[in-house]
Amino acid sequence: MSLNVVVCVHTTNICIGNDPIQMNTNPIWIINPSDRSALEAAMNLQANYNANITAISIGGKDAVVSLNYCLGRGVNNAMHLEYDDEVSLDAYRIANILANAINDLLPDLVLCGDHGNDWNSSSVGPFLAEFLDLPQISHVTGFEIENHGRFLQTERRLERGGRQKVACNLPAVICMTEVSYQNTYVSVYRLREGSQRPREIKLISKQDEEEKSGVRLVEVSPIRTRPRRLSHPSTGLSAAQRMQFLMTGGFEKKQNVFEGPLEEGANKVISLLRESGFF
Amino acid sequence: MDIWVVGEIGTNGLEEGTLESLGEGRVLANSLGVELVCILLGDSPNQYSSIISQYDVDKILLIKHPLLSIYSTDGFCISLTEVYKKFGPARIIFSASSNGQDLAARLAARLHLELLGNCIWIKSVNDEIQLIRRIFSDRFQATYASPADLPWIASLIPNVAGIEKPHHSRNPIITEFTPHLEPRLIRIYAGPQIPGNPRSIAIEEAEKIVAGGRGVRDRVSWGLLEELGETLGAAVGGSRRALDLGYISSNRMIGQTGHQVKPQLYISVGISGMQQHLGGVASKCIISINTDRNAPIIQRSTLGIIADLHAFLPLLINKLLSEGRSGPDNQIPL
Amino acid sequence: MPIRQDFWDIPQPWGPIVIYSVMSITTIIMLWLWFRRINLLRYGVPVKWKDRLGLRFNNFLRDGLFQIGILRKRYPGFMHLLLSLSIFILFLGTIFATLNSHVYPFLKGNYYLVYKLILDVCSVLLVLGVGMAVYRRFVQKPKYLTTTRGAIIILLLIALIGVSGLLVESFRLAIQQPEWKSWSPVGGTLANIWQNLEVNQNILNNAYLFTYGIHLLSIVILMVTLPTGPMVHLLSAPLNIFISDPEHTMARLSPLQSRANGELIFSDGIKTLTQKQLLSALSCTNCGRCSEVCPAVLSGHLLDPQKIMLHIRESLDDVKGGSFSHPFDPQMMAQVWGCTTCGACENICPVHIEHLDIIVALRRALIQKGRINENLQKSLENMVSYGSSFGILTPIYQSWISELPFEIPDATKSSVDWLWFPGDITMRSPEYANISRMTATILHNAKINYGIFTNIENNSGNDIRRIGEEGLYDELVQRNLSLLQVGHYKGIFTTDPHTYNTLINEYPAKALMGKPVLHISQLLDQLILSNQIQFKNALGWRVTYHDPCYLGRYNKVYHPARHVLQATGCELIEMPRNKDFALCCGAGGGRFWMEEGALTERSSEMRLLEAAALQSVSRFITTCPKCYIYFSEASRSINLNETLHVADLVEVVHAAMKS
Repeated sequence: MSLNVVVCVHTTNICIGNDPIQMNTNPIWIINPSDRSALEAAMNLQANYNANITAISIGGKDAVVSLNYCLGRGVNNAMHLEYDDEVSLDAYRIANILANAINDLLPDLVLCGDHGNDWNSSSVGPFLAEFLDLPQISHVTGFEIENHGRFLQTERRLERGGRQKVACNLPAVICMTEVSYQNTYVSVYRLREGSQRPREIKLISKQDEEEKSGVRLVEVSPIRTRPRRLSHPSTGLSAAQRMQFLMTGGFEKKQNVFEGPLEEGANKVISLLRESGFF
Repeated sequence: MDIWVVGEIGTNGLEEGTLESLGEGRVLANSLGVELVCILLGDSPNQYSSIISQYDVDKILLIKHPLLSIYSTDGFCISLTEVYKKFGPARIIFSASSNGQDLAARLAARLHLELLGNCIWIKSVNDEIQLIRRIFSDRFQATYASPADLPWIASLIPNVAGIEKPHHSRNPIITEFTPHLEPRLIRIYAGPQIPGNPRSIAIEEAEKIVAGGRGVRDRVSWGLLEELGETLGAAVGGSRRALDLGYISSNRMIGQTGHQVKPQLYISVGISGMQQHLGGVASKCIISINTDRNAPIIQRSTLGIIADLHAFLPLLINKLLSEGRSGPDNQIPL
Repeated sequence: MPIRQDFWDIPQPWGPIVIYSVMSITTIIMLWLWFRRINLLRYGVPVKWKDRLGLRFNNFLRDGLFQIGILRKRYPGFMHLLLSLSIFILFLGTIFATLNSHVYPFLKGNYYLVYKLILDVCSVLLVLGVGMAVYRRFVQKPKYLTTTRGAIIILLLIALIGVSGLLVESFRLAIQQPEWKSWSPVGGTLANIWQNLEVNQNILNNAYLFTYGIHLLSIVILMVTLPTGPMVHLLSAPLNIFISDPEHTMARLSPLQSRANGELIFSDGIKTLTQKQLLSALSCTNCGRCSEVCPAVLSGHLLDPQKIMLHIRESLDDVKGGSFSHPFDPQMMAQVWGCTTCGACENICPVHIEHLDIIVALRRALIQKGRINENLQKSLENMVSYGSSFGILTPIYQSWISELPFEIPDATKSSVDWLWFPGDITMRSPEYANISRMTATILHNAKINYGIFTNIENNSGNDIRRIGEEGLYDELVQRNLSLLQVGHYKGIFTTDPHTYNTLINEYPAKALMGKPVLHISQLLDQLILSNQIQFKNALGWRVTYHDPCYLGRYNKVYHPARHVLQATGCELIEMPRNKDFALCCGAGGGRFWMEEGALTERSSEMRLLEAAALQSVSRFITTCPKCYIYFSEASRSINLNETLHVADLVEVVHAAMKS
């Protein structure tokens, strides 16, 4: 069977400065980890089912980096949707651009990562699936193709180590979760080879009329803890300590060291567990 | 415009994330002067009404259909779209679980609503609603502001907001709704959701971990850790020393050259806490038991108990068993 | 008049004809078999060997003919010398006899007598040699020496040749009874015995012919066996020694080979190894010296340099023509990750096999394929992104710099005498932070004008090269190059012997621009000699010193650290295995970043136990960050940290300067 697979990748900028909004002069781009898992899954299909893999990325220089990586890894084709990378895109726009490009490729399977490490969003995959009007399965750890390439059997990751098997017919959108133990290392030589390989470049023009979004970004700041609700009022803490506990989100108080009768120690442990909701 | 919280029924009943979202939603609804509605989808969601009633909601909407017995993007999205078209607009809050993230995004696309996913805090500030999200590997946070009259969809990361003690201050109005669903509309075949067994899940996915090190005398004493793990529903791991001594296998070794873990709760027993080990642990609540006051792990702990683990653990386990409920989490007291 | 008789008592005229025919045919067969085996090399990638012929010949004489390398171990070296020399001389004897018959009869008179004496003695030495070999294989039974059926057969044949030669001589002397028979001491003595036993002339004659036949037969069999198995080393080992680059040093890895069209050659099978590497495999005699000193073998890892050479030789013997690439067994390939690149194997090999070259070549192929251990992947990827294996988001232990009460100048901005090239472990490792701080402090207190590249902590690339990531190595060199060329300094020093090794041996000349590169031990030695560092009191500690592999065995730098220790007033007790024979800590070759795997006993633990056995030594001194980290960890895990304190050389100097 010949399988037409599209993988959507993007890089995340590891922000080493103090302001992630400002463009660094020397950005450090790494492939978004869950996108990498999607790429690895696609390469497995290439190896085992002779699938035709097309990698797609949106952006400017960062997209060049991600496609070099994909080409070095061995995808069959690459498509660069070139967009002015000064303006950062929101998930809707990204999914729209991707959907338009992917529709022409008539894929059997669309793979992407389920989570972007930079802006912490899990939305592009489902948005893309909606715009393509395809079924979606997210948080996938692995999958198998059956029935001459028309049926997909996946395993999903749930909370607390839970798992679920979900299947669907192709075509579909699969959002892979980060699975590091299946990664293949791409050597620097391969990256260089990848950067030499040609790719299709499509220029994406800025939308004439930007949809005014109602929600606006107010600020980006270093993290601050938020107060946490308690289900059990603590018996072991004083009122002041309890207030501090609430204000610091419960766990910031460090170095609470206890040395004394074991009975009392055990009580302290249990009250901490209770307050935190673990028991 | 009301606040809707879409609940989730997980492997052990109602998910705690739903209760957290209800808590968050209640505060928000109060400040905005609107109502808090809890929506629950399933084939028999009625059984959860009484629990939800304790969390201060104005209305409960039970969307009932046999095809909703197990989560599917299509089934839930179609149902919620119908509900939104009938009862909306509204501000919808999901719990950012695997299914929650999945559904929130698909629904936002279908309803053309703004999506603020993976939030840690949603609150009302002056006349606006502020939503705060963690970004860039939890090193920064982005604060968004929405005008008071704008509908949006948000998802709340579990285990951050916390749950309050339940109380009955309102008697919610419970309505049922049957969506128009057909099998051909649901494009996936979902198997059962299998809960993770702390004994066998990947240590990186465990939310609670009990880890042991060189301080554990022998294999028999290691059994104490396993018992503690059973009691708390925690996975058992260890340091490199525990691996050398044969207490654990390499897939449970925690450390920089082993597995990196991010549990909610980390109980370390007899581990000194050298960097090779601690470098692999990121947890907000660390409880350590060690005889050495100067062990590096004590510095990193929320609570450090200076005691001999062989005497302390049996005592602790007994107290845990006698004092309260033991067993799997998410068992909501009725 | 003593004169040699041709074919005495051999039935004429058919006797000599048969003998000559048999020998000629056997010789042709032997030469053909040798040729066929050596011709297997054509499957490999060609190498250049026609330059520096003088140096090559010198090596050949030293290790091929005079066997200096083999003699490094006394007993087997001496035994081998006996055997090889005797066979060679006996062979010469036959040549002389043939020349004597057909060219010019020179074996007469005293020449003949000396000739007989020498041959007789050599025959005895031959038997003695075999006796020594049998003792070694069956009584001493060294652990890593493999005794195969082939080895036993060869020994038997050689013994037979020696004994039958002596017997033949004795029977002839017993019949002929020449006056000069005592010039063949053993042959003559045996002849006397036959005489005293009054053995019949007829029986003696038949015995003579029979033993002659045995002698001939065993020689024929030996000759056709020589080209097979490891015995081919008679030809391949001297050839290998000759072909080895006479200026080869394991400190400098060879670059990747490429084909005519520019395509790089990655070694994952016979046809992608060089001819020199294939020849090494044919030269391996399975003596086991490499296995004895390999830290991987000693710690129970599956890697064994001897087995790798054996596998290559077996694969080579199985090779057929055509386009089949003959890839190596993937399990064998996977074992190469156990190598710490300590170089002990190459150092001790008597026939110039370059194991490191082969292991790194295999690793290069594995890296290109990409299936490598997860931890290693992460470290390499961190290095591609940030230059440091520690990544950027791990807590920054550069705080040891910010905690210093003084500032270290930035060598890109200010002009300094010495550039400290720390490498990523010295900068970032929390376990080593204390030592880094002490290093900065003692140099500051000694008023040395040094600087670093602030906020930059690139790995020098030495271990990256040993892991097989040549591409990443090029990148790191480029990054470091731009820094090195921009900085203002007169010389470079480093605390890491790995960094030292690659800077000195592998970095392009334009990077260093002729400036000296020193290891911290060399710098301290210099500073002490010039009195820039002075000690208040003698420490009086009893210490032992561990030679780091990349300082000692690789670059032959042994003495500076020892001088420093003595200057601080410590009493230095040498380790049983020291200098070139020091046992590796196990961190090299990239193993620092890999998952350890299943080991029976860590080499770092074995080394500490070796030190603990020394009388009342309180400190174990080393001058390498990886050694320090590994040995500290080991001393904790085997509970030695109370009795044997692991310390860096810098700690000793720091203590001596303080007191």
